[in-house]
Order: sequence, then structure tokens, then C-alpha cells
Amino acid sequence: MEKIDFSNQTEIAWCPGCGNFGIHLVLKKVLEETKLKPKDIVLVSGIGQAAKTPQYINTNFFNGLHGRSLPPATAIKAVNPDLKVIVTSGDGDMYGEGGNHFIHTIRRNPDITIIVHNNMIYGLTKGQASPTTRKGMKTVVQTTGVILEPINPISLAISLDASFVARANIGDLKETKEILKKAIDHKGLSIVDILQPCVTFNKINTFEWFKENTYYLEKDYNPEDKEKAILKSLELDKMPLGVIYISKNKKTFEEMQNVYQKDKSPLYKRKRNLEKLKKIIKI
Amino acid sequence: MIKKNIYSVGAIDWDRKLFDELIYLPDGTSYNSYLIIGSKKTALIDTVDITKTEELLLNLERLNIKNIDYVISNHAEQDHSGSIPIILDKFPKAKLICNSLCKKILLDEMVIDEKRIQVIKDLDEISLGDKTLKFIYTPWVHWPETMSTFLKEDKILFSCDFFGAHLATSELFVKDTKEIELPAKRYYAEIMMPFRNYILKNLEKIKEYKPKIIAPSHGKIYKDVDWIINKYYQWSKEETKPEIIIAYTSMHGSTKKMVDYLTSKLINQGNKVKEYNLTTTEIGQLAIEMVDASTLIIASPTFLGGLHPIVSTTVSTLNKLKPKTKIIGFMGSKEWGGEAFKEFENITNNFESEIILGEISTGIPKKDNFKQLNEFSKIITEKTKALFKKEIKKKKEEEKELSIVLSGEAGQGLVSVQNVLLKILKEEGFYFSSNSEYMSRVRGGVNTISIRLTEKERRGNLKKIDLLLALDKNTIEHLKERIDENTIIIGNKEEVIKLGLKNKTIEVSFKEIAEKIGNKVFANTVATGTLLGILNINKNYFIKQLKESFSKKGKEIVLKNIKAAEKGILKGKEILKTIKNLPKIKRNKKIKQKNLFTGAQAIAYGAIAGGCDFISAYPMSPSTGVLQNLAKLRENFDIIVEQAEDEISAINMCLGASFAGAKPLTNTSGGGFALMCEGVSLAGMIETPLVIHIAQRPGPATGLPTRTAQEDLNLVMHAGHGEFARIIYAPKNLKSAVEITNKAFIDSHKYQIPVFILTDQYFMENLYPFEKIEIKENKEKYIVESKKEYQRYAFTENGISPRAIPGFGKGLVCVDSDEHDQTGHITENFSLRVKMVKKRLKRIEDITFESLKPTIIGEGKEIIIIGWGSTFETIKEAVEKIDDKRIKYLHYEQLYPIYPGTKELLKYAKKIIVIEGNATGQFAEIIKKETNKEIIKLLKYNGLQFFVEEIMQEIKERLD
Repeated sequence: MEKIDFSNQTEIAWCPGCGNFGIHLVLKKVLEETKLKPKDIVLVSGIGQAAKTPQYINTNFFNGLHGRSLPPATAIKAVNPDLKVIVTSGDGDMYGEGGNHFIHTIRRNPDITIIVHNNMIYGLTKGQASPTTRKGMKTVVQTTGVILEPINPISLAISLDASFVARANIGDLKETKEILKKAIDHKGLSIVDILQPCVTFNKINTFEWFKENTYYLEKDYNPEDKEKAILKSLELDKMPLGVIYISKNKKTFEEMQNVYQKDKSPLYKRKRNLEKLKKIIKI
Repeated sequence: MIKKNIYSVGAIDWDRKLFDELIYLPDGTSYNSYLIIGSKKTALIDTVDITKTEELLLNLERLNIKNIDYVISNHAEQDHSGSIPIILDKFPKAKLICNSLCKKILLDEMVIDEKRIQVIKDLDEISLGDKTLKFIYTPWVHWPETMSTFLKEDKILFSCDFFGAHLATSELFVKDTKEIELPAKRYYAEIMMPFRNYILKNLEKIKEYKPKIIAPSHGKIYKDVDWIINKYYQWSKEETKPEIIIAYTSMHGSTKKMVDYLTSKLINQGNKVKEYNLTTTEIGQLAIEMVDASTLIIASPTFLGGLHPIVSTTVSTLNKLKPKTKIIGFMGSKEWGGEAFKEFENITNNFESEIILGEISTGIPKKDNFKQLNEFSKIITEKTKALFKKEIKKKKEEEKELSIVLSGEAGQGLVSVQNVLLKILKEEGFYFSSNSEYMSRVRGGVNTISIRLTEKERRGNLKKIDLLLALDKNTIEHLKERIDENTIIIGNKEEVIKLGLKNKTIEVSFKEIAEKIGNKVFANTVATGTLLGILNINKNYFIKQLKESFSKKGKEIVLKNIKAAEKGILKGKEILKTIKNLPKIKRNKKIKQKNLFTGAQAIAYGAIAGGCDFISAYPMSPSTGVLQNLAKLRENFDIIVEQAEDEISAINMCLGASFAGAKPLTNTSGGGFALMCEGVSLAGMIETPLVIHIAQRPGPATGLPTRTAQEDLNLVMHAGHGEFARIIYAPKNLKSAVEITNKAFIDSHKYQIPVFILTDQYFMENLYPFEKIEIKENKEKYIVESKKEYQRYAFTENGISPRAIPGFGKGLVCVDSDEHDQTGHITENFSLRVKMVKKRLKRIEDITFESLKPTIIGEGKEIIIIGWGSTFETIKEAVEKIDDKRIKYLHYEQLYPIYPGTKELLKYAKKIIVIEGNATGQFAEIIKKETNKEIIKLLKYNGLQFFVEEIMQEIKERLD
């Protein structure tokens, strides 16, 4: 079968050595393996370095406002469930500006994949703390060290009964690719928090730091055990990597829409019947 | 000699054929100069043209005049002032008397020693001994300095050019007015006509002095003063006579054929018509016609790309005379092209008339042209006849209407009363208009429902209350302002007395009656029944309604409600016996067939008509009704309805949905919309269609959540950082709301922009039966199937790129909130940035061209009333009831881009009054920008809709 090329010609604006390159590579490989055509895939992002990813991949994309990738992604999928929708944005975009949408999108459970490029810092705006920055770290705004408790997106997602929750480390391309493939194949909302370094603005959470402060879940780990998953999510000194939680048999947002109960076609293909309206009001 | 010691000493010019090198003098002219010999001094009023000085001097010699003390210059024009220097020379003691402006002009025209001039002011007098001369300013007949001299003792008015006529004659006085009428009219037409307004003022002024003789500076002297004064009144007043003048020229016969055809058609239709071939017509004749004629039609062939020179000269000259013609038509022929009509429009700028473009044939007129000419003739006849339609001021029949208000606490079920009541009224053929006002609480407080029954299908918001049913005491206080001495109150007597009201009260305790039946919750059913009893409406339909509404609650409840209803009806019938003169409103079977639904439903139905298949919104008063109505219809019409977690999510969801091919609507009020601003900006940037409905309420911040206002126009106009195109609509009534919402969907897709629909709390709740809605199925497809290498933002001539959606076609669709290139990828290139900005803004031209013309009511020109949005029916009723011909009412439904013809519509306005529900006059400021004239603002911002009565009062106060 003809191999589809997901690369494009756009000049990449990331710093050399940026973790985003790895995520970019892995994502393209996983997309190739889905055998889907580029025209049937929509990448959605907000604003940030991570959010530039769709610009460098040969698919449709919706590069929206900062923090606001999830509402359009949900709607795109709801309005045309035949499309494969993948959100790829940063930790500031997803957990800060977009925090409210993160919570409610998990409640909706659309069949989309959320890839969070978690570098624990604000890269595009040059070095302020993000919601996942650890306490004590000094930055250009948190000059005396971060005093706020960092968000734990894994626990948050599991407590909301997200359909699929995983964490990866871009330092390990092969393992990350496997996790990402599982996420994209999963039916329902799949969240992958990918730890990555920001070589320019985060001198603490480096490739080495991630290697030392993470470990892979055992082969026989059962992600369907919620209590176990919550406990795993609370391990912050040495963070577990892999598929941490799966909530099976959840209906997706699109499945539950009244418009798809009888007719599976996307909305743009349907015609509005004016005759039906004439039965209700006098036209 | 005019009288003893009063002589006419001027000159007759039998030979003069042309005046001002333009006006033909068929009868020659005269320059009248008058000598008054007083007991002590002698005065000469005006002199003569320089060509006739000898005659003047000869006349003075014949009278043996050795001395003149005063030479009075009423008017500086040379045909009267030309001989002043010679007279001053011959009579060295004479002083030249004139006003200061006349002095200035005289010194510019001729050499006079300034020391000889004595300047006088309006109403100054000089004495000649036994004769007194009074100077009366009568400006602009026909120069700015013109004045008249009044000889008090003999009551002779020396009016100079005013009332003049170019006539060389041996007769001093007018004996037969028939002889002077045509020359006087010609003189008026050619010289006085442009100054009509001044003439009317001058006539009032001189009438006060009751002159017995009027002696002008040209032509004969009038003893029948009333005759010439009345003529001037008749000619100067705005009223015309039903006459159609057709002036034309024809080079090869095409135009003449058309003119002859038109003339015959017009004659057939009963008009008085005159044709003038300009080649053989002297312009004075046309000017005379213009004094009275209501209608002028100009027919011209095209000559070197414009009007035939004879036509343009004639029309330009007539234009200078500012005739009062009410209707102008233009027609003609062309061979190979031209802008004759444009030229015509430019040179008729002084005509205060409507210009109707008739037929322009290409070459010889053919069947089609004649067909159009026939239509043209009908329009001309119709419009001409309309000017003179006899106002059969039939004795204004009192409009029968009944204004009912029900008031109660929140939680008493007033809403269900309204629902049932209105259904019954419609079924029974009553025309009604209803609105409700309520407080921001679920229990307690005061809610009211107003129901107006009218025979004339009135929909305005009325202040007065004829019948008040108070379900709960303490609600009457809330309505105190609307109660007058005629209001009949059905409620608690105690409260009425406590409030110091002296109204007729009928004591009824709905709650007690209900409790006797089993529960005070039935009070509203009792109240409804009471009202039906008063209106003498049969109970059957009501009982049917109760059975339907309460069937789910069980047989017992149904029966109890029916009992409550019957008790209420009985009470109502009792009450009816005690009320004298309750107007009996006529019913109309047709009302049963009309539409009846609220503003919120109207927006929902309009959206459905427009193809809406996705709504994401956050509940916010008073907009929530739209969300809930679409939710009710979601299965019927395949609509995705999602309540978003906040307004930011709502608008961003809608944009994602639109990107993927759905037709979304979002729905909110001012405060929620404020959160959507970045989303609006995104819509503009990614050029993706979106319709946004905003139901306004008073702000700022939380404001008055359940009241009405028109305060968010400025916000909606400017929301969203950056610059991009948008449309803002504000429907005027329920029918229009459906149609405009449908249109909003079409527009948003056609132009790929955000389109806003502004309503308000009053509009959302307003209910009245209305006619069929006009919606045509939209067959246009605004989505393309993408090809490989598709570019979402490809440059096009009008800035709008063909829009593809992901998954449909071979191409990729990419949108970016960053500045982007044609493929939708991010760019920071400066010149590309400029191109993209221009691209996004270019469509404003096309949008503006299509901008909706405001609804126009009334034919007036001087006083323009302007409104927008939901105030329409109320202002319309007020304007109709004031019934003043000077008023024209413009109601705007498209606020941005505003109708570009607005300036033209306001061209002749002397007073512009803008009525809106905010404190700063937001729309008034927009109108000001369009017209640069002063605007009077009529504003209300207490949270309630305007009342018909208060608008009537405010307008009437400003009418003079």
C-alpha cells in the first residue's frame, strides 16, 4: 500500500533539541500506521510552541485561540464523526487558560485524543511558570520560586472518570509511540500527558531529570482498576509512565447525540426540510 | 399723478427685449420712480436705468422740481439705481437714503461720495413735513438688501421689485387684473420664485400696515392690493396644482415619439398635461408653468454622453429658480450610451421632489419601451393624484380598545394564565398584543401581564390600564404610575384606599374562592375565568384547554380546575353587570389563522429556516428562551444542542462546528457576550460563518436581569480586537425576526463573517398574532468540494475565498488564529499581512451595498423620527396617532453597515429625533456621523419599554 507522507514543507520554528521534535516525529509515525488519509484527520491546537505542531503536519488543522482547543475539537467531531480529531497543545494552554474546558470535555467524552506537550514551563512567552511547574522553581515572574501547588492532570482526569489516561516521556520515542497508538485507537476521550524538556527555558526538568524521575508501569498492570490508578497518579516523586487508567464502556459524546440515532451521516450532508417547518408556523 | 403731491416720474422702456441677458421681455418694461413732495421736504424713491436718465430728468423738469432732499434707494440693482450719481449731482442738497447692505452694494457698483449717504435701519422713519416715510425691510425680493418704503399718511407701499411686472404701458394703475396677471406671474416666476420662504415672511410683515396702494418699480400700480397679495401667497405657498408639464427636445424623433405616447396615456388617465418643445419654447413660459405645476417631466436624447444642451440649459435655469414641483420624471433616448440621467440628477439638486426615472430607449422606441412608458405614466398619475387626495377627515371614530393588566406575585402562575388566555382570545377572534414584566425572583415580588385588545390590530406598548386584575394585594402599588381615574381595579379595596386612589374597585378575592375549591393554587384559574366572564367569552374552549393542560395531574385536579374556572366566569359575569361602558371589541375570524409565538420562538424558527443544525450556548436571561425552544425541536429538525460550560466555550464550539460544515447559532445577553469577544475576533480572522443572537438587558455588569434595554449596540459594533467585517441586525417585529434570522444565516455563509442579531427582553416576551412569514428556500451552496492543493484563503477579487470543509474533497482545510498565508499556515511576512487585512475588509463594500433600507412611514420631510429594533410597533403607533404630515418615521433593522442612502433620506430634515432605550444615544451618534446635522435624543433607560403615550407627548412637544 502506498505510504502516506504526513510531512510538509513548513519551516519549523522550535529550538534545536526541543522535545516537540520527538512528539512531532512520533505523531506522524502513528498517523501513518492508522492508514487514514490526511484529508480525514483534523489536528486542533491552541496557542503555544506545542500548538504549532499541526502547522508542520500534512493534515487539516484548526489552530485556534490560546486555551480554547477543546471546545472546537469537540464540536468538529460532533458535527462530523467520520473525522479523526487529535488535539495537540501545551500544558499552559490545556491546564491553565483552558482548564475549565479540560474538565468539561472529560465529562463530555468525545472520541478525540488530547496530546499535552508537558514541559512544565511557558515556552512561547519565554519562561513563566505553567500549572505543572514544581514548587520552588524560580522563573522570570515567579522570581522567588513557585508557591502554588502544581496541577496533577492525571489524578484530575481519573477522578472525572476520563476514558483513557496515560503519561509518556518523549525521551523514549519507542515507548511513547506505543502509548500514543493505543490512545488514538481508543474509542472515547484519550489523554496523553507527554513529559518533554524545554531546552531553552526550563533548566531543571531536562531529559535526564525525566529519566530519573519516571518509571514504566509493570506489564501486568491493570489500567481498569480505578482505585489503583488514582494511587498511581499520586506518585509524583517518581512518576509512572504508560496507560494508567481506562474507563471501559463509556458512550462517546457523538454517539449520544440525537442526530445520530437514526442517521449516521455528518451534518453537512443533510438538508433542512422547510416543509416540516411549514407545519409548525405559517410561511 | 398718483395722488396730490405724489407723482410717478420714471421711464417706460418700450423697446427692451432682454433682461439680465436671459429673460425675454415680450411686453417691454418700465422703471418706476416716485416723487413725494411733502410740506417741508421732497423725496425721490428709486431712479431709473442709466439708459433712461434723460426721461427721469425731463419728468422732474416738467414738474418744476428745483430741490430734492432725499433720494431713497430701495434696491441697489442698476435698473433702479443706475441714475443715482447723476441725480445726486443735479440736486446737490440731496441725501441718499438706504440700508447698510444696500450702501455696500451701491458703493461697489458706482462712484458715490460716501458723505452723501444716510444709512437707515428697519422700521426707521423720516419726515417730509406732512408726510412720513417708513422703511420696511423686505429682504430677498430679490436681492438681500431689498426693502420697501411706506408712505404712512396715504398708506402707499413703494415695494420696488416686489409685486413688479415687466410691462411697458401708458396706464398708471391696474384696472383689469386679467391684463396684469400674466406679466406679474412671469415676473414672479423668473425673479421671485427662489425666495418663496422669504416672500411669505415679507407678506406677513407688510400686511400689518394695511396698504391701500402698492406701487412697484416695474409695471402698473395696484389699488386692489388684496388681489396681488393673495396671488403672491398662492404662488409662494407649498401647495401645487395637479398639472403635468412635459418639456423635451428630440433630434431624430425617438424622444418625441415617446413623449407623445406618454402624453396621450397621461391624458387618458385624466391628467391636465402640457407639452413643450424646448427648441421653440422661451424659458419664461416654462418658468410660469413651474409656479403652479405639481409635476414636471423632462425628456432628452443623449448628446455626447449627456443631456442635450437645450435641455441642460433649461433645466439648470429652472433649477436656479427652485420651483416647488413635487414630482419630477426623466426619460429619453440614447444611441450608443451616456450618462444623461446622472447629469440630470446633478442639475436638479434644488428641486425638493422625488425623481422618477422613466424609460430610456436605445434608438427608436420599441414595444418594450412603450410598455415601460405605460407603467411610467401610471406611476406619474398615481403620484400626482396622491398629492391631491382629499383628506376625507371623517369624524375620527374612537378606536375601540381595552387594556387589561393582571398582576400577581411570582409563583402564582401568571405565566400559565397568559398562555391559556391568549390561546382562547386568538381562538375567539380577538386581536391582542401582550407582554409581561417580571422581577428577578422565583417567588414573591410583582409580575404583571398586559393584554391589549384592539380592533385596529395595535401592537404598541400602552401605558394606560382600563381593567386591572390584582391577584395579590401589594401589586397595585407597582402599577401606580399607569393607573388613572378611569382604571377599574378588581382586587383588594384596602390597598387601593391605602394608596390614595379613588378608582372604582371591585372586591374579589381569587385566593379565597380557590381555597374554597380546595387549594389557593387554583387562584389563577379563577382569575382567568373572571376575565373571560367580563369579556363575555364562552367557557367551552377554556375548559378544553384545562383538560389538556392538567390531564397528566389526574382527574381530580382537572375537575377542581374546571370548578375554579366556572366560579371565576360567574364572578366575571356579575362584575360585567356593574361596569358601565366597557368597550365591546369586535372580533375577526381571520385572527384564528394567524401566527402566534414569542420573540424567542421567532428567533428559533428563523434559525431553523436558515438551516441551523448546531447551537452551543450558556443560559442567560433574557436569551435562554431561544436555547430552550431549539432544544424542544432538536429531534424534529436534527439539531445538536449543547449547553456549554461557559460562553467562551460556547462560541469556540460554534466556530469548530462551522469549520466542519455545520450551521451554528450561539445565544446570550450582554454580559455573556462580553466573554465571547475573543471568539468574535477569531471568527473574523478565520473567516468562518457564525450567527450570534444577543437579547439585551440593562447593564452594566449584572444590571437588571429581567428588564429591557438597547444598551449593547456599541459593544456589538466593536467587539473583538482587530479589524474585520460583520453585520448587525435588530428585527423590528415578530414576522421580521423570523425572516431576518433566516437572512442572517445566509449572509454569514455568503460573506464568511459573524452576523449579529440584537433583540431585548421586551422583544423576547412580546406576543401578538401576525401574518404569514415570507421565506424563500435558499438554494445556494456555500461550501465547495476541495481539490488537491486547495487553499482556504486564496486571494479573490472580492476577498471571499471559496470555502471547503475537512473531509469533503481531496484537499486539506487549514485555519489559524495567527496571521496566515493563503494555505492557512502561520506567517509573519509584512506584505502578506497587509494583503490579508485588506482581504478581510474588502467584503465590507459588498455588504454595505446590500444594506437594508429602513422601513419608512409617512411622507414628511422636515421632521424625521428614527428608531431601531424592538421599539418599532410602539413608535409606529405613536406616529400614526399624531398624524402630522411633516413627520417621516425611519426604522432601521440593519445597524451596521448602515444603509448608505441615510444621508440622502435626511437631506431635507429640519429636526431629527432618535428614539432608543439607552442613556447615551448610541444609534443617534451613528446617525449624526452619517448626516452631520443636530440630533435630538429621546432616551429611556429605567428598564422598561417606551410607552406609546410618552413618545406621543415628547414628539408633540418638539413639533414647533
